[in-house]
Amino acid sequence: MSRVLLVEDDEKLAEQVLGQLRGAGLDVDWVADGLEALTTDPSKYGLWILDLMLPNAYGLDILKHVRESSDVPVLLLSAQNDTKIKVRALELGGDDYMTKPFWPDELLARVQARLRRPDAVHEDRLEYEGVVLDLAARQLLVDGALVETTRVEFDLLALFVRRHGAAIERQWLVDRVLDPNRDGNERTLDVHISRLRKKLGPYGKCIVTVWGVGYRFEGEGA
Amino acid sequence: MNLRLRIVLSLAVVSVPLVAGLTWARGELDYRAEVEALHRLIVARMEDGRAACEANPERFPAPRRAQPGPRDRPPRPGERPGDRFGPEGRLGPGESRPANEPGGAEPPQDLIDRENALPELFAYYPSFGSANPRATRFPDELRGELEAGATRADVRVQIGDRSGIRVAARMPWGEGPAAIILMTRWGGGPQWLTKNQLITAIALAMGLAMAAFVSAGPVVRRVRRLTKEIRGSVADRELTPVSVTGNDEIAELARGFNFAQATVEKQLRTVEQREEALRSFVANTTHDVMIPMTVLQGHLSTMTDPDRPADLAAIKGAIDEVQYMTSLLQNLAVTAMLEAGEDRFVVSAVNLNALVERVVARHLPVAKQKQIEINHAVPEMPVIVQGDVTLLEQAVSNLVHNAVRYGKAGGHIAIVLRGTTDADWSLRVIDDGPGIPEAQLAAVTQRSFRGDEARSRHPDGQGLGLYIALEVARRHGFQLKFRRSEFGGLEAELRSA
Repeated sequence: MSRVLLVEDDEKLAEQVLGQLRGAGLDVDWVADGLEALTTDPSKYGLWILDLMLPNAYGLDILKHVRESSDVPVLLLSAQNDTKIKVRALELGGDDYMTKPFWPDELLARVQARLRRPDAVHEDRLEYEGVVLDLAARQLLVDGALVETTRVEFDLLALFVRRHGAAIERQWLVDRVLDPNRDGNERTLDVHISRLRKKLGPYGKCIVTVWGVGYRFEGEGA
Repeated sequence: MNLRLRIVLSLAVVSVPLVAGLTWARGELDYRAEVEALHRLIVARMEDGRAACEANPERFPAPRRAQPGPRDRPPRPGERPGDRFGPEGRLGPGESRPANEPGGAEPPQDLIDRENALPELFAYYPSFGSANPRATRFPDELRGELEAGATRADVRVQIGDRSGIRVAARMPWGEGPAAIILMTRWGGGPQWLTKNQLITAIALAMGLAMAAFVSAGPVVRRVRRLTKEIRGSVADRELTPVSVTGNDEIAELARGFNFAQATVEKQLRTVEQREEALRSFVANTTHDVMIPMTVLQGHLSTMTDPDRPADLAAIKGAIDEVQYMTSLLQNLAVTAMLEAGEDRFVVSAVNLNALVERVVARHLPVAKQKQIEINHAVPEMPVIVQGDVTLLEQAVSNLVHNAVRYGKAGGHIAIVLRGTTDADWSLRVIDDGPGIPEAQLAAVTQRSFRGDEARSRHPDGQGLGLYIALEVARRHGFQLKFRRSEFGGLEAELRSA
């Protein structure tokens, strides 16, 4: 688990954030002073949460300093909802920002999203738990067993696995995967999905219907 | 300095140099004419005087008799015109001593008068020496001019209190004791300013000054009247225009004042209106914030009651109110930005994928508590548009906030971003909440209401949020449409134009 550094001078807010993040099982260090932040080794952490208004140093200057030696993700906190600051922060290499006030859940969600490392991507192979797609041979293995699929089913699953966790719009899937010459509409798509679910066996329930959007491929624990 | 004095002084400033200049010019013309006359006189005298001179250079010219010069003044009574030239064609011999003898005793007045009238003449060799011992030493400045090649030269002379004009001429024969002639007329030269001229000038100046002083009267009176009117026009709070009479510069001044007054008045009205708008804005805002504050106080007070178990509903209600207040305050800040005009916008590349994720993250905690499911989908490649990220985020946030606020437990919200390029994208916020009746739907998008009006019509603040979303879309050149969603609720679509 990556360590998180919180740079925040307000004690109450810091305590709250620390409690929330530590409660979620994260390892968090806290720095309250701008100068101390400037002398901290950025590479020791997997994520920085950086307040802009700090004693002894301005947040954007700290960000600049961090960027000189590291590309650690930096999430900025600001009490000012000011476009200029946001634009400057992104220019300086900030990854994300949050405007105060924010919900603790909101912060946790963003921190987790930033800490989540993308799975190893292979050119010709997609893997999610027991589901393995051999892109070169266009073969699907479910728990090691070869499963026959149509072209549409294979392409759909490849898209799902590649973007697992993210909802994918039904129309987008229709446009990308279905053959427009063979009655490709959303109803046809639902039929393909239903067949694919059956073929995936125990992983069939990983393809979740998302209200108003389409589908999402997610693991048991997600 | 008052106007009359200023006019008189201006007149003096203009007229004094003018009179001086004219006097000088006249003096110069007189001098030139005198020089011309003396030169002609030299030529006339030497036509036959040459022989006399060459015959007897030591005694040339012979002593002359008192006789007025041909051009100096009219002949005195009793003089015969024929007497003006001597028998040898030159001015005749006089009983007086030579006029040019410097250092002599002061001559009697009548003699001076006569001397003044008669030009004296001496002849010189080409070497500027004279055979006549009485001859004046040839003046250096004239000698210089003649040596430089001039055939004649002239100069003003001033010796003691005597002034005059000297003309030297080279004779065409160029040799002998009469090769060069020097003629001097004492007292003949013009004076810089004669007594008469001086008196005339002073009288003229005084006359002009008086005339200016008197004629400035009506102007001064009109200016005074205008001043009085201007003072009167701003004495009370209401600005009244001053009366304009005539068609001259003073009338123009009055018109100019009226124009300035009208402009000031217009600006004053604008400022007053703004002040009024601000006052009502603050009053409305206070009112708007006080309602959720009151509700929040109620919830918090319920929670602290030891006789009642922790009331989850009260906590959720409190959270809801806090969320609402935050949104309201952010909207007020954004309204201020919108009303300040477009030059306050900070346009940059905005990643709509990230924006959607931030908005969802912001509303997710409250939605969860209200048991409303929020889903979102963004394309794999980020959609980047040009815009002000704060404004765009607030616009989208308002749409989502509406959906969360009016959604019911078990309801859904979906935010779907679709698009390929910055010129072709759409962002839809779909819900299955109560929606907006068809009749009002059109009104929502067509109404161009002001912020405070929006809030007074929708006391819960819904109007302000939608107004901001519409304004932000309009200012960015995007479209924002509302329609019934396929799930019965509201579907708001923000898209590229």
